Amino acid sequence: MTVRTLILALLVAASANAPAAEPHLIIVTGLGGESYYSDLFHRWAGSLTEVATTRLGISPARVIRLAEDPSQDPEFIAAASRKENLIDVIHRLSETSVEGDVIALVYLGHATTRGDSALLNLPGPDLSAVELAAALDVLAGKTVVVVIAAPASAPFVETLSAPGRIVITATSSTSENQHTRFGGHFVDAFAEDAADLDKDKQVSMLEAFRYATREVARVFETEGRIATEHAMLDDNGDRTGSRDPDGDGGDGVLAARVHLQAPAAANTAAGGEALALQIQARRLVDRIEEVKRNKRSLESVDYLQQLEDLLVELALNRRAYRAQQVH
Amino acid sequence: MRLAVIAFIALAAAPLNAAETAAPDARALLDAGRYADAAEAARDRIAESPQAADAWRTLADALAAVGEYEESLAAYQKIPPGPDGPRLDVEMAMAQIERVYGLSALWRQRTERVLSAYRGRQATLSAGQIRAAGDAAWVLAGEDPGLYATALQIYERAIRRDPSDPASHVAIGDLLLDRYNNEEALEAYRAALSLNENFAPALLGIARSQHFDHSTGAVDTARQVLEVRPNDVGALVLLARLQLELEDYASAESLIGRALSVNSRSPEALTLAAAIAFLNGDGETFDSRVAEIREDAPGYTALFETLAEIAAQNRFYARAERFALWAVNLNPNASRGYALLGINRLRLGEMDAGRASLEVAFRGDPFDPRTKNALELLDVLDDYEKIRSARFVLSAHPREMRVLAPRVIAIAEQAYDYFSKVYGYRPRTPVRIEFYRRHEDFSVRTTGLVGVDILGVSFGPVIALDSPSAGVFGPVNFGSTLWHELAHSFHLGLTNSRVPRWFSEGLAVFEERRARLGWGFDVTPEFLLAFQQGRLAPASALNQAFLRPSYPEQVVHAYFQGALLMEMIQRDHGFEAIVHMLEGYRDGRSTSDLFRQVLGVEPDALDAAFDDFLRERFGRALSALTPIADPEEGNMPDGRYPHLLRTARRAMEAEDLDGAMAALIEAQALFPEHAGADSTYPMLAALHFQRGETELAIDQLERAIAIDADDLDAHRRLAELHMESGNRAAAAEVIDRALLIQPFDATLYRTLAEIRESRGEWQQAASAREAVAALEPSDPAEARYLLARAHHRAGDLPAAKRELLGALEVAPMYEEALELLLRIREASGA
Repeated sequence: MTVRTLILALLVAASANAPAAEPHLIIVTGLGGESYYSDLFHRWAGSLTEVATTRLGISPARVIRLAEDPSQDPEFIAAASRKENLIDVIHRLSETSVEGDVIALVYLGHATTRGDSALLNLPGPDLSAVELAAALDVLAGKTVVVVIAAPASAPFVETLSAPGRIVITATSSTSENQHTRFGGHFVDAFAEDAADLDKDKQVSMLEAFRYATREVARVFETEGRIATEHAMLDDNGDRTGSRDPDGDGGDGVLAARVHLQAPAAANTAAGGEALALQIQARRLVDRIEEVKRNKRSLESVDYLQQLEDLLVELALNRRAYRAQQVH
Repeated sequence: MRLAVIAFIALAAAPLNAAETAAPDARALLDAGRYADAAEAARDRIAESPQAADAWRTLADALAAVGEYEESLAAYQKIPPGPDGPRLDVEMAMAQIERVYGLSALWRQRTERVLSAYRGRQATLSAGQIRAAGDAAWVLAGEDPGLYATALQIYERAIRRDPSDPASHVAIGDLLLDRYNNEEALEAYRAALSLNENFAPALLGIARSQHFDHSTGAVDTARQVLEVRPNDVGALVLLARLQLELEDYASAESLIGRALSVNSRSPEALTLAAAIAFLNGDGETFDSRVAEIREDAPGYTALFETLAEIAAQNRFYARAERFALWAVNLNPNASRGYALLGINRLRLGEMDAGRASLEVAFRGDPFDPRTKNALELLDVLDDYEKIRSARFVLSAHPREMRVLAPRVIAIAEQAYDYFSKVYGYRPRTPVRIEFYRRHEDFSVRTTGLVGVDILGVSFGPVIALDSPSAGVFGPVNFGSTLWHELAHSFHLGLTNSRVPRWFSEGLAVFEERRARLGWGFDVTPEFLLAFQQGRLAPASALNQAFLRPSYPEQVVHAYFQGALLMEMIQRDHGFEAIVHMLEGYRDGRSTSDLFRQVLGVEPDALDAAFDDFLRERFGRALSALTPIADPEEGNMPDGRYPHLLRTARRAMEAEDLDGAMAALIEAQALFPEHAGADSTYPMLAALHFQRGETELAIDQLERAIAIDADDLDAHRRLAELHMESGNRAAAAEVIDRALLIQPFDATLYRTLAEIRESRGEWQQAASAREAVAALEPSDPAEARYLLARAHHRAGDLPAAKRELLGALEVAPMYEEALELLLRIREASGA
């Protein structure tokens, strides 16, 4: 682990121990080009809106939706997904959010490259990766997640990559310029228990990424076709994405910690004892992760014993926490 | 084989020198294969002109062609040297004879001299003499593989020297074929034919390349050679080899007789004669033939390699291994011998010894694709897991082992017990079963090359199969396939590999069909049409259908035909007659003898009886497939059954469900044995379901899978209907059977697990959950937690704890898993 990633990990871990603030979510759908894609992007955005405001518990005021055609769902769509509107939303969020907040921007649509420019295809002028990067600079100090679920989106990684920022693209090359399925599966990840691999009842960005990439691969395999999209994730600011981030020193460390789950009402309401149990649980998980990291240097029996001891402690913690919740 | 190749190059030698007195008549006779006439004409010419070099050359070649090698050498020596020194083609022809027949220890010096002389004199040499230098390089390449490339370059120079000489193209073709480059060899032969369309060595080269490629054209091309040159020993030997591969030993023997009548000392022909004796179980003749070759042609090193190849082609893998061992003992540089030794050892399950032999082969000849493929396959197998049961070693990819092993081992052990009992024979154990994820790997395991279009093979002690995940042949019941291959292992062992293919295939399908409902081939309209049209092979000559099918589906039909023949034999003579026939094969008896001795019928009578059996067995269906020309009911050119199926489909399209139902019910009554996607069963099931007659729909699908256990869709639908009708036990049973077709479908296992759990069958639930966990589920923590829960409920606490720790290692905050961990600890007093 580099010094920088270590610092990041500690920062995020520290913030995870404290009550997390409610995330901000910007959902942008681009030009469909034809009704099939317009409808598809609209459906994906609708699903994400619904899952964010229900399952994830984000208040509707914190979900800002920009779309090709606002009349499709005027109740939820704030404005047309024009370049100036998106930049304006980002600027406004820079004023209303506070340091440490999670701000996620999910783009569902088409993208293209022209010369050296990577472009999001929006109503009106396209938005280049460079313009988007400049707009995002105002969110310094916040944990920013940018998901570009679009073909030919790979260059966004290099341009948007920055410390404390998670950048996810649906493709790892500009030649992967066919319609991508990543967006739909990425949205599904927040609605599926199966995406919550570590069963902590929240889907991290890394889990959502893994779920979506796995499902995309499965679709291509089932159809017997060669995969035409390979998603990437960058979260260590090195301007290089990983197709298989493992959270073990390279990309994935930050993404494993960041999620879009709003803090549960019970957590904050239950008072000091519940909170202490939550903090203790998180520390136990950290110790378990440390044992796992040392797995290779331990005898199998010792490893399993250490793991079991910590898990039992954690199990007792969860029992106590549940008892708190009942009372 | 190389001697023959080079001998023909010598025969095709260009005239020595255009300025010298030629003997064109004698050479033409030689080229036409009239060797005695050619020798006589040459002698006449020599009597007139004792220094006529071309006449001496023709005489020497003619004598060599009929095996008078000592006289031939004497004639070669009479050929006066050229203006620049010894004639290289003459020197090389002599060296070849001396080498193979051990007539002089000078052959090596002579060969090296030819190559060295070429290097000094190449500017002035004729194409024929340059070619001789290429032959020298090729011979020496046996010990110095770098010389193969030299030989090729020299042959190319010969072409440049005389582009109109087809023999140089043939030389390149022969070398490339020897070096496994069949594609470019063919191009070279075709180039030779473009210069002379009747050039026998080029035609023979094409026939050999077709044989190399397993192409059916080899026989016709070899016959073309004989049209041009009726006494061509090479063509006769190749044709005999092809007949041996068709298991027609009598024809092969006749062809070899012709070859030996031309040249009684031809080691290739004598080797084939030895092979025929071996295959006929005539040990005395075999031994004397081998001794004859060894004594007369001690330098002929291909003897045991050829015998090993032929033995393996006829499923005598242990003998093939022995012959290959003799080959390498005879010639420690025999890379081909080591390759054959290695491949056959692998077939016998001797994996380490096989690898060691292949590594020697690879060091000597890294270009043999079979050696390279086999070594790469061993690398693949190194990554496979192995599990040992009482009588089997199962080898499978780690991602598939946990899913395959429980079912494979259960079926294999059951089959071993069953076959041991019915055949009264127990093969040596462990029998090795290998499941290949990639069909290409299976193909290499089977033949050494890719492109095999079967999905299972039994070498006796080793069985190799396509894993169901290989997916080349669509849904296939792997339980049934495994049963089939295990039956072969018993047949091969019981008969010392002497069972003919048709008998073993028919019997193996018969065994499948009586093992489980729906296993093995079942009757199709196409099979019955082939019978009606007289296209099926006669029952007494089924081997031809396997080895040389006369229409594309004939092999498939022959499998089923063989099974039905076994059914008839069992009906009329009892199963013990089949066992007696196997014992008869073991004792070296022929099929027709066994028909007479065991069944008491002549082959013709058996054919007639079998036709009657088919008519009796499928009488109604045959009638329903007979064309009808009825002015009242209308013409039905392919019979009533297909007509009714079409009527039903049209009615369904028109939403006339009653009409469709009526047509299908009538069709099914006419041909109830026909199942599968295009039969009445799925349509009737769908119609009954639409009418809300779930029980009747279930009945249709139950009957369908009882005939065709490969029909995955029918299994799935049936399981769904059982679930809908609340019969979870029946659904579980059907899913269990479906998993023999598609063992990697996690959804099927999940459904099965849920059913087992709902019925409190926790052990079976654990087994299904085990498979889900092994199938790389999208949620591994949940899969292992549910497996742990099933183990816990089944009372296996250590297994439950192991799986829980696995689940929690991935997902430490998994509340249900944490809670179960505490409960297990509390239950064990911790």
